Parts: sequence; structure tokens; C-alpha cells
Amino acid sequence: MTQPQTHRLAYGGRIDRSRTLRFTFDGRAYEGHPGDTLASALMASGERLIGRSFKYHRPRGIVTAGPEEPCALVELRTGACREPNTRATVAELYDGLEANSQNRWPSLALDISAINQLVGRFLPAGFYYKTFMWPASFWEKVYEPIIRRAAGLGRAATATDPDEYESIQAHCDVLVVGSGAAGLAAARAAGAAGARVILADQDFELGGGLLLEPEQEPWRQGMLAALSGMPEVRLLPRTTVFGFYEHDVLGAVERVSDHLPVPPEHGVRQRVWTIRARQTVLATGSTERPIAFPNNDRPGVMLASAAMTYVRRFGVRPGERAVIFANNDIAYNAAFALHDAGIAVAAIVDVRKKDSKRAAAAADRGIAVKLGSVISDVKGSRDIHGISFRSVNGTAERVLDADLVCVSGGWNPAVHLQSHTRARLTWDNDLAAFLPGKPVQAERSAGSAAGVFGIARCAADGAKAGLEAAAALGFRDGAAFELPMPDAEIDPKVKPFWEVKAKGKAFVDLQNDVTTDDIRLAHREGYTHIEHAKRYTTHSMATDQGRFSGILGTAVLAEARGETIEKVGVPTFRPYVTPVTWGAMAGRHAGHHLQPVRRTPLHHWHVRNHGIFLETGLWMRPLYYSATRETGWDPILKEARAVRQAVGICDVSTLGKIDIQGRDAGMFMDRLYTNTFSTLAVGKARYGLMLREDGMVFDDGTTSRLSENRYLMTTTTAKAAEVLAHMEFYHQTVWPDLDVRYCTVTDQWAQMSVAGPKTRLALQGCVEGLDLSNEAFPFMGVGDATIAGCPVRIYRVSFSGEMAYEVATPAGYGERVWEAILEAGKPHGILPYGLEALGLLRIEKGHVAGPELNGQTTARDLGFDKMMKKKGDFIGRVNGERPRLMDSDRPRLVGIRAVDPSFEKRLRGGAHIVDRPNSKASLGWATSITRSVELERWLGLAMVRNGPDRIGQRLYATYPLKNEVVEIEICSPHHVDPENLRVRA
Amino acid sequence: MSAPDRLSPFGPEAKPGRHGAAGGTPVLMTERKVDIVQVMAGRDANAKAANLVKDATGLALPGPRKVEIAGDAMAIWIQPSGWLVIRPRGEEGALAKKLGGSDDIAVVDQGHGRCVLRLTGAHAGEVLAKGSRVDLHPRVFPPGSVATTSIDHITVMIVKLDAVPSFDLVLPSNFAEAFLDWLRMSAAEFGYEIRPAA
Amino acid sequence: MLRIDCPWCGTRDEAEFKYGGDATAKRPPAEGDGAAFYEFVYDRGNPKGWHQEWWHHVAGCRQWLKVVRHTVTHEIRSVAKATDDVTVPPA
Repeated sequence: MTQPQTHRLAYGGRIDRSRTLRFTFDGRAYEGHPGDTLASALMASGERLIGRSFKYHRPRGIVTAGPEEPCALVELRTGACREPNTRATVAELYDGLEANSQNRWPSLALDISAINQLVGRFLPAGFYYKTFMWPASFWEKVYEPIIRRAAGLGRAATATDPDEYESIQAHCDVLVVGSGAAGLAAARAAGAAGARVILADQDFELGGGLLLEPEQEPWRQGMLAALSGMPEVRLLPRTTVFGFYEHDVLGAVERVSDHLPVPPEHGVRQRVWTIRARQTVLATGSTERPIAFPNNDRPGVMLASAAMTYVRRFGVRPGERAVIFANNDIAYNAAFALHDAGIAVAAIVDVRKKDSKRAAAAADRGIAVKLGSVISDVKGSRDIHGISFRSVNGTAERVLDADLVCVSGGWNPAVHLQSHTRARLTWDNDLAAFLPGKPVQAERSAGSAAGVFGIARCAADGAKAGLEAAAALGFRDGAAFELPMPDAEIDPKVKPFWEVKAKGKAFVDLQNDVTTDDIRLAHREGYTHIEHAKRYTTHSMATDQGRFSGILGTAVLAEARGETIEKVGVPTFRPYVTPVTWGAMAGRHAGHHLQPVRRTPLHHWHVRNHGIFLETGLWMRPLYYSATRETGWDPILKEARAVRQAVGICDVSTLGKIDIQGRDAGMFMDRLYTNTFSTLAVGKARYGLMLREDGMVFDDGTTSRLSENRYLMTTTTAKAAEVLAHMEFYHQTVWPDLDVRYCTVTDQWAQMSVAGPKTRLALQGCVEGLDLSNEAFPFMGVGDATIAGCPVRIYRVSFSGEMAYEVATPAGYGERVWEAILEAGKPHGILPYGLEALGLLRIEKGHVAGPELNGQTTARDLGFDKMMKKKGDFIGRVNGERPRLMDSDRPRLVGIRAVDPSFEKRLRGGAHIVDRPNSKASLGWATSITRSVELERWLGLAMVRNGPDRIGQRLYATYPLKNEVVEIEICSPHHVDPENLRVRA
Repeated sequence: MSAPDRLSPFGPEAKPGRHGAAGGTPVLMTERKVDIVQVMAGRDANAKAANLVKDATGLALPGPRKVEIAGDAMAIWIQPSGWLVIRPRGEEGALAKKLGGSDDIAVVDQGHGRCVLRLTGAHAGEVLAKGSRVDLHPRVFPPGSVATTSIDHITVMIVKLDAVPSFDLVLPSNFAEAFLDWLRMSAAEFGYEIRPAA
Repeated sequence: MLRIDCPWCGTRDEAEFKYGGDATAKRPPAEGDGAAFYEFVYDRGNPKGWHQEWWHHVAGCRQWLKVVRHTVTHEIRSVAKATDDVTVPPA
């Protein structure tokens, strides 16, 4: 049965009564209208109990009508789309919305954890810190699960979010945050002056405070119409600017489809905006603040402005009989709005002793004003039925019947975004509030965010700010426009008043259940700094980040310290102003879109031919090929044997390739590499070793000399980008006089390594224009040819230790050349091989790779001492020869192989090398391990202290995690063909 | 030598057709069949490089952030004393060979290493703004402008051609498919059409 | 997020750049001794205030730039080419 809208006013508000929207809350059916929020629609049906508080599980209702809501947090939607901790006060109602209360068990009305209220005096500030300190092991297993069950907020969805999110990069001359009178005027002034303007507001309707003023509606609509007609003005409703970062960059989240049952096809749910604003106008308005008094958290106690909003904007009666509790004139507007809507106003309890003009106006309406009085208690629990009040200093209490308490402790300008910029807030005595300070970035505040009150004055202030912002950028055109009619003169001055001290819990943070007594306790226990008190009590740490009532905590702490609020200050405001979903922050970068995939020119051949892929950095590389997707060593060994016994072909396009040209190209190479390249003959390749300036090995690869002043460098796959940046650094900053030019050509070439004793036979079947005989084209030769009509460059280099030729062809011909080689190699038993076989072969051959080039090894550690040239400068030369790097007991590269000639006892990478089976004194570690097709046993490479001196020793490889100990022999790293006969064959 | 057909770096999924939201003005995506050569001049050799390119292609070499466009050909500034020269695809390697190069001017064929995707349509700028951190507004980025930036972690050169707006995007070929994947997601809300390579 | 005014490309997002550390460290000449090279690689100040540092415009013109940045406020005072002389204001 649908709950009737018992509390909907007969007329008024900005809702569309001609249409009805159905929704559920905790499974019950309700209805509302377009223009409602979830909060206003629940209120229209008389619902007051919306949630339970965090610690004490006290019943909580709707306290505000905006994003600073601390209590009415709900879970929206269900299943994979469930979104916890959403403020019902900003959730735009749509047909079919499903909402659930949270932090209650088993049901909202009967919450068993509410027993915490009864033991509340045992749950003071810092309770968790004090109670659960010892023993540490209890945390994980005992305390944390209990705390989590009792004190959780909403539940995050566990299934994958089916919706899409995206980011957008924006630039503007003037960003205006907030669309009240000040914001609209600022945007129009700046837009008319010719600036590119973005106007963002968190609300789904633009207008801010204007939305409560029916008589200003024509002006609001006129402004929106004018702004919509400006091509360089962009209006962004439903968009919260959540952070103001360095260099005038702001972040915002647009709730694109949150008001729809599901996002439209090809549409996103939310969109994060990164806005680079040359100037920003902060017209963020101000938020009313509460007063702390006993039981000020009961459902039915709300901000006076919230009550007025529900009446004026949503046509809802928040109660039947209201009491207003205030320390300022503005709150009287709420009393009058309620009265005019037919809601009984039992009294205005005004802290101030002096009569004001407003008291007379109240009297005209027949509303009683209790001057110099305070509310000292609220009667009732889930529903309130009255209040006690007394004179400010008195004790004699009187009682009033009421089911609605409207509180106003004054107004806080919304200075949060300005605070993010490190601007220092300033204190205003009249408003008893912090105002924006001297700007640090290109921003200015306008309207009530700057402490200006009254619609007409705010609009004028906004127009001025908009003009100034535009003028600062040189936009000086622009037409004047009408401002709203001045409203009744209103005095925003407040009598500072923060707390009624009486029996009962008076809350300063409603969501985290922090009371005035908690703040005083924190002070007594030494947490006297506001930042310490915040963390000790969790005050201002809830989803509203202290926006609702942070100032109350400061006031209580200030009194305890005997200092002014100005001196004590508020905790630093940081992004985000309101919660932002993870989905929005991730945007498109979720799942396999986390980072882009880099594909070699042969990628789709590998896909079609059953390559099993591995991500290596951004690259996708085939590990091995298997039509049956078998796992284990078999396909790998098969591919490796093909290379050792016949011929194999492997895609090595991922190697970095850099084209280097210029008169000083040779000199540059000599400085980059430890060995000499200026002496390399044209048409030849040479293996090179690069160090970092600290002397550690940086990268290696073969580099060819294509002509007198042109080299082609290859780098490892992993370091390709770093090597180019390294070259640019040294050339641009250290040796700018070198006459040399270079660029990456990695993407230009498809490159394949053809290796094995039958390679020459295979290639001779397809290569045209190059004599591949050993005499004509010896090891380390480089030459041009064609294959299948495609230009190729052939390098006679070997990583596997077999006779090998690397064939490079422009990327678009990669597949054609690859297939031609496969065809020519067919009679010779050619097989494509993947990354695993590539690794197996290079370990057998003793070539170093990533596990050995780990940034902690020197040339000497790896046995490359002889590659350190004696003459001339090169990077890493001096630091690479530091005395301690010459210590003989540094771990140095050796080969290791299992003594047992079988695969029974496996060696593992990472195993420690020890001299006795159970020794815990590590002599080094295994870096790369493989099954060997050449020696038919486990073998690998290791870094072992005094390694080269131990060749021939029997030691042990121990892997304690798996209780494995394998007897090994230390040997040369070159398990295969140490004389290099095969590569020269 | 006459080159055989080459495979498109955009992969087998980039088949011509209309995708994404229906109705409205789709964003058109076309792979351009071009030759691309990178030209890098040594110290005091900018003028010499300009003459070289002018003689070979008729194009002037532009200054920073600018593109020189003449018909289907263009020269893009990419870095100090560095340009890309792009023109409709001819014989394999011919453009690089024609430009030649010398000890103080490096000429590097990038015809396979880079690829060009033309993006045109009323929403083309909005699509790019989902990834491009560079301001593409006509006031600051008029036709004839180029910016190298990063979109979805991929380094992209954005060339503004006209006020439609139309852009030529110069991409590293190894990332062409990944970039198209991102582009398709970003353009889906407006609708898009993949055109045959031209 | 920093916005760095590249002398070649114009003002660009930090995301296009890679930080390269202290730009006042000078590589010793080839004949420099161990102490000089040690200092070049390892000795760094940690100033609270203005800092001259390298930023590499990786996803742009690929130039190494000298940026004078305030380590507390992130304010950038100047961005210069690698070969330009740069003055760093007192802290």
C-alpha cells in the first residue's frame, strides 16, 4: 500500500504536482513529484525516522535541505548499483527509486544496537583508542569485526558496477561556483563581458536561495534565459565542485544520470570535470548552523532554513507545531514562512534579550517571542512532542508542545573551496563566522559566501565579482542588466551563542555522535589543538566534514581553553567538499581499460594462431602458442627445442629502437655506453652496456652503425622509454654542444628473431638481395634485403645462443614477412616461439635480462668488467668504480645447475644459495631459473658472493617457503656453447 | 620499389560502419593513408631544413604549435627544430628518400611508426575533451594549431584543420587500436561512423 | 595539479611532464673525481621555499625544462629552457 502524502501542502512549492513518481523506502511504497528530493518526498508522507546514528544508534531524521546533511544518509538503488551514504536531501527523486535506511539492525524502528545509548556514558571520546589498545593481536580477530558490525555506515556494492563513468577536461576564463543570486549575476556579468564561463551548482535546479523566493522567480528565469543565450557560457546543474587545487585547477562531479532509473544508452552515470579556470568566483552561499542543546539530534529538530525550504520549495509541512530557536533576525523568515503556510508556530525562543524589529513583526502574526531564552531539552525520542525552555541564565523550566524545532545559530559562509587554496580565513565578529580570507589563487568570493546577506545585495556583489574576474583577463565589454528588487532590509548580525548547558547529550557532530562533553573530555586529556580534538573525538570527520556543525566543536573547545573561536580556528578543510563515488574517480579507467594496451604489428597473427598472452608493461606478448590452451612446460619445451635443433621465429618488435644521427653521434654513443661505438664499422652491430650515473647497470642491447653518422640503437623492452629520456637529459642538459639528433622508431618496425641451426637455410628460401652465407654476412653483420616484396633490414645477432638473424620490416608488412619466413622455414621444421621459450634459451645461454639488470648490479657484478673502456668519459664511469663496489664478496653472476640430471627437484627463482642444506646464511640468490632443453635438468643464473671464484663448488639452493633444498653446482653462466661457436656458424 | 598492401594499425575491428547513439550528427573517423617523415635539424640548420622540405614538398616548416597545410599535405611542428612531414601515401620510402637528409638534418621514415586518424563533426571537440588536457577552443586553438599531449596515457598530436571542427590525430602505431578503443567509448554518446581508410 | 608553462608548447598539465629532480646539480667534467661525482648523484638540498628543478615534457616537446617552484605553495616562478640561466629567489 502506498503511503499517502499526508504532509504535502495544498499548494505552493516548485514541484510538478501533475506527475506522480513512485518509490520505495525500506520496502514500503511512497510517492512524490518531480522536483522532490528523497528527503522532501519522505517528509511529505510524514516520515521522520530516516536513519540511526553511528555510535549510539540514536534515531535520526532530516536536519537540513542540502548537501551538508549529517543524518539522513541512505543507500540508493540495489544490487550492483547500490550506493551507500547518499544524502537523502540531495537525492533527486525519480520513478522507481529504491532507497534503504542504513546503520540499523534488524530494522530502522527496532535497532538492537541502540542499547549503546544506555551504555553511552561508557563510550566517550577516544573510547576505541583506550579500550582496544591491548593486546595487538586482538585487533584483527576480535575488536575490528565487532566495531565494524556495530558502527558501519552503508554497505558498498560487491558486484561490478554496470554503469559507466567518464572524465572531461575543461578550460574556462571564469568559473562560477553556485547559482544563487550572486552566482547568476557573476556568470552573466562575466559572460556579457565576453569571457568563457562555466557555472556549476550541485543542485538539480539552478537558483540557490532564489528558489525560496517566488517573487524573484521572473528575475531568476530572465537570468537563466540570458545565460542560455550566450554561446560561451556553459551551465552545469547537478555538478558539485569538490576541490580547489593548485594552479587554479578545480575538480567537480556531474551527476549526469543519477536522477534517472538507469543511464540512457551510451550515457554515463557520473562525469568528473577537471576545470582549469583562469578566474574563479565562489558564490557558494552559506549554510545555517545549529546550536547544541540536550537532545538536539531528535527527528523533528532541524535547521530553520531547512524547514523553510521544505515549505517554500517542496510544498511540504515539516511539522504541525513549530518552535523556533534562534540568535538572529534571519531565522524569523523561517517562522513567518511556516506561519504563512498554515503551520502553527508555538513560539520563537530567541537567545537575545533585546527586542528587535522582527519581534514586532512576529507579534503582528500572533507568534509569541520568548526573548533571552533557550531550549533546554527536547521531549520524545523517535518523534518529539515538546520542548523545555528557560531564560538564558535561569533554571526554571517551562514546557511547550511542539513536534518541530527549527534551530538557527547563525550562518557560516561556505568557505571550504577557498580554504583548499590555503587562503587564511578571517573572523567576522558581527556574523560570528569565518569569512574568506585574502585570496591566494585567482579567485574571489561573492554573495553570502563572502558574508553579504539579502538577495539584492548578493546579486549586486555577484555582478561586481563577475565583472572584476572578467576584467582581470581583459574582458571589458558587456551590458548592464537588471538586479532583483531589494528585499526587506535584513540584519545578518547574530548574538554568538553555541551551547545550552543542561542535562542530556548535546551533539556537536550528529553523524559521528560527538557531544559537547566529548570535546571537553578531549581538552581535559590534552587534545587542545583543534586538529587533535578533531581526530580524538572524530568531530568534523563525517561525510559532511564539519560543514553542518564544525563550528560548534570549535566554540566548545574555545570556551574550555579560555580563548576566542578566532584563535582556536576550525580544522583545515580539504577536498572533497562532499563525498564522490569511486566510480566517478575511476572514470573510464576500470577493468581492462585501466591502461591502454600496446600491440605489436604481429599481434593479430598471434591471436589467430593461439598465442597465450601475457601483459608485460603495456605490451601484450605471446608467452607460447597452444591451440588446446594447455598449460605447463610442454609447449614451451617444444618451442625451445625447435630453436636448439631446427629453427624458430619470435616476435621481438617490443625492443626499443632509437635512430641516432649527426656528426657527434659516435661520441654520444661512447658516452652513453661503457664500451666504444665510434670505432664500430659501418654495417656492423655491437652489444652495448649502459650504466646509470651511480654506476649500476641501466640497460643493454645491440646497436648498429648504419652509416658514418647514423646509428640504430636497440634497448630492452622495459627500458625503451627511460633510455630515450636519459639520452635527452644528458644531451639537453649536460652536453648541449653535441651535434646529434635522435628519435624513437620503435613503432616503425616489426622485428622478428629467427634462430636455430637451420635458420640460414630457412631464410635463404625467402630473402632476396642479400647473401646470407657466413663469409658474406658474418656474426654481427647488418644488411638490407627484401622478403615477399617487402623491404627488410637483417641483423645477425643472437639472444638464444644459436645462429640467429633478426629481421626488421616496416610495421605494416610485419605479418607478410613473418608468414613468408614461416613458409620458407616449413621444410626445416620452423616453429614460432613465445616469451617463455625466449627466456629459457637466454638463461641457458647466460644472457642477462630483467632479473639480473635489477638496478643493483654493476658491470663487474655481471662479468662485464672488460666492457668498461679505460679512456674517455661515459655515464657511470666514476661511481661505478667506487671501492666498495669492487669488494670481492659482492654477489656476482654465475650459472647454477641442479646436480640431479632430472626434473624431480625443482629450482626456483628467488631461492637462496647456501653452503649447507639447513644453513640460514645466504650466499646469494637465484635470479632466473628454467628447465633446460640442452642439459635436461633445472638450471639458471644466480648472484652469489665471490661467485666466479666458486665455479665448480657444490652448494644448495634453498626455498624455505616450500621446504625445498636442491643440491646445485656453481658454473659459468654460459650453460650452452660458451665458445660462441654456434652464433658464428 | 612498389610496396605491397600493408595492414592497418587500427586492427581488424575498425570496420566501416555507424555505431553508438543514433540520430544527431555523428563524429566521423577516417584512417588517412599517408607517408610520414620526421625531420630534425641541427644547430643553425633550420633554414636549410626548411629549404629541403620546401623543395621536396612545397611545404613551409612552421614554428612552435603550428601546422603548415597545403591541400592533403602538411608539416607539423613537434619540437624545437623537429617536424613531421605528412602527405598522401606514395611509393614506400620515397618521401624519406626524396628528403634525403645530411649530417646536420636527420630524416627518419615514420610512415609505419605513426598513423593519422581524421576526426570530424560538430561533436569532435567534445569527444577529444574527454581525454585531451589541452584547450581546443577556437580562441586559443584555431585551425592550423597543433598540440602534442597525452590522451588515455597515449601520446597524441592533435592537429586542428578547420572550424567544423576537424582534427588529424597523429598516433604511435602500437597504440592505434587502444586509442581507437578509447575514442569509440568517448564518441558513443554522440554516435560515430568509421569510414574506409582514405 | 601543477600547470607548467612550457616555453615551447604553452601552459600544460603536470600529467604531461615527468619530474627530474634538482636542476642545480651539475655533472662534473670528465676528469672529475669520485667526490664530485658522488655529490652530483647523491647530494641534494631539501629546501622549504624556492627550488630549481627539472621537468621533462615527456608527452609534449620532449624538452627538459628548468622550473622554479615553491616547495610549500607549489607556485611556479619561472619555466626556462635547459640551457637558460635561471635565478632562484631567496626562500
